[in-house]
Amino acid sequence: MLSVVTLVLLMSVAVLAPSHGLAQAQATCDCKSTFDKIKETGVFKAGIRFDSPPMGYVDASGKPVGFGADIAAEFAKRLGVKVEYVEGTSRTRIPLLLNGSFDAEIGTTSPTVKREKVVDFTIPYFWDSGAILVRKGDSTNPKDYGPPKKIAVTQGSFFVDLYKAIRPDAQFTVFQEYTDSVAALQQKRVDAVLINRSNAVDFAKQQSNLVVGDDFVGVPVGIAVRQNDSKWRNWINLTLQQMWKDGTYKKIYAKWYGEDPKFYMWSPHQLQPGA
Amino acid sequence: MHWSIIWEYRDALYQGLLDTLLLASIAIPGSLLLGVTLGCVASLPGWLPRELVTLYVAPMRNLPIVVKLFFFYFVLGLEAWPAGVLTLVLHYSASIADITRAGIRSVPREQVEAARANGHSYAQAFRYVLLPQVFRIINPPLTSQFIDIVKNSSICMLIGVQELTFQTQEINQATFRGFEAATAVSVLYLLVAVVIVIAMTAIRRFAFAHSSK
Repeated sequence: MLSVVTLVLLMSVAVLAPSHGLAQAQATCDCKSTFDKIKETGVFKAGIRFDSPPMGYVDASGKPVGFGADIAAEFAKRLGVKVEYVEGTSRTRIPLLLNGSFDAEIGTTSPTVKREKVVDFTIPYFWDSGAILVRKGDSTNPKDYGPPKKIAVTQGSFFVDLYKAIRPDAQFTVFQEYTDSVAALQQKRVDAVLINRSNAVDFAKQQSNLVVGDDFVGVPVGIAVRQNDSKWRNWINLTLQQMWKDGTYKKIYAKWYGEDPKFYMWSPHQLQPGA
Repeated sequence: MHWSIIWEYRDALYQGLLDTLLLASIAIPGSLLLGVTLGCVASLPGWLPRELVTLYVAPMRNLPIVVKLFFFYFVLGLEAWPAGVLTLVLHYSASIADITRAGIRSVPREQVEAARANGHSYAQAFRYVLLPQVFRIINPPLTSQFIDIVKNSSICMLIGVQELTFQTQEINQATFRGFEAATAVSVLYLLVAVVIVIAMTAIRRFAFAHSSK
């Protein structure tokens, strides 16, 4: 009994002691931009997905590849440094960004208001959409999946709230990974999976009885960086637009998605004045 | 530190705790019953009972628990709660079977021999002389197994059961205050473990108070 009390006291001390330091670190910046740090160390550590083809995955030889990886490599080239890939999963991408394990997350993260409280986002560098993945023969209209049909969704995905806007009575089963949701779809435990279109297309390619339904929402994808770092964020925003202007972006996009992008960088009509 | 989120999300944590307790409260008696039965069967005379029980215990102890969970859920197609409870019961009944068998072996043979010399049948000796001593002996390792069941009930989040660890992830995803959420959940798991320890200690003291040891 005494040892349990001691343990709880020790845990409280361990928890409260560093909080003072952490609060200070969050209140003030450490005032050297990530941009300068990267130039100094000569390495750009990019957080990319290892589990989301074609945005970011690991090829047969174990090398990280994908659209995000190529964008990161292009950034490194323009900075004149080496690129180093670090995996960021849905759960770890923000903590790893905040603790410095990488300098920018170039994955499939959407700039939600909640996320803006802890990180900053660049302009959207990619536009994805939320679609439904269904079995062949079922309706491709997202509105058709209210009860008693069940929908699989990944924990932490904001698709839940967006889908509830079109069907407030929807029933969800929550899984940890898309692969589990798709397995449940195959087993008829659920009737639809809420999923990014780019992931959905990949699953439908591998499993011939699955069909990608219609989109229910357009999803901007931004690059996440640490807060209060205008120099780094502005550099990324400008570089994305310069890559658009000189055709590099379209080349990388066509390489991974097989077509030209259906969106425009920075705004639907033009780049930022001065870009 | 933003400890207020623990209060904000108290409903989610409460629901998660209830689910975890429900999983544990079915898995603990289930695995105890199955495990003790298997352990007693394995201690019967002859080589056959022991080998038969080993045929079950060996794969259960050597396969990772998540592999079994996915087998029951994705391969056999059971629903989430039955798959989770079945996994926990089968996994822990194997360890409890081994613990029971060791407990039976650790009671001196003279006990059973003396009982038989007094005219009891083997079954009577087993039930009235051997088993009570075995339960007292295996009480501490059983306590660890039960606490382990509570901890490992978190695997059910992989198949969609919204228990305590799942709720931590929900809070983390919604607010990014993962540290505060994890601390709260750790305290809750610790409290459940403490309750189990107190209960098992009380059982040992009062149910077997008449033993000389």
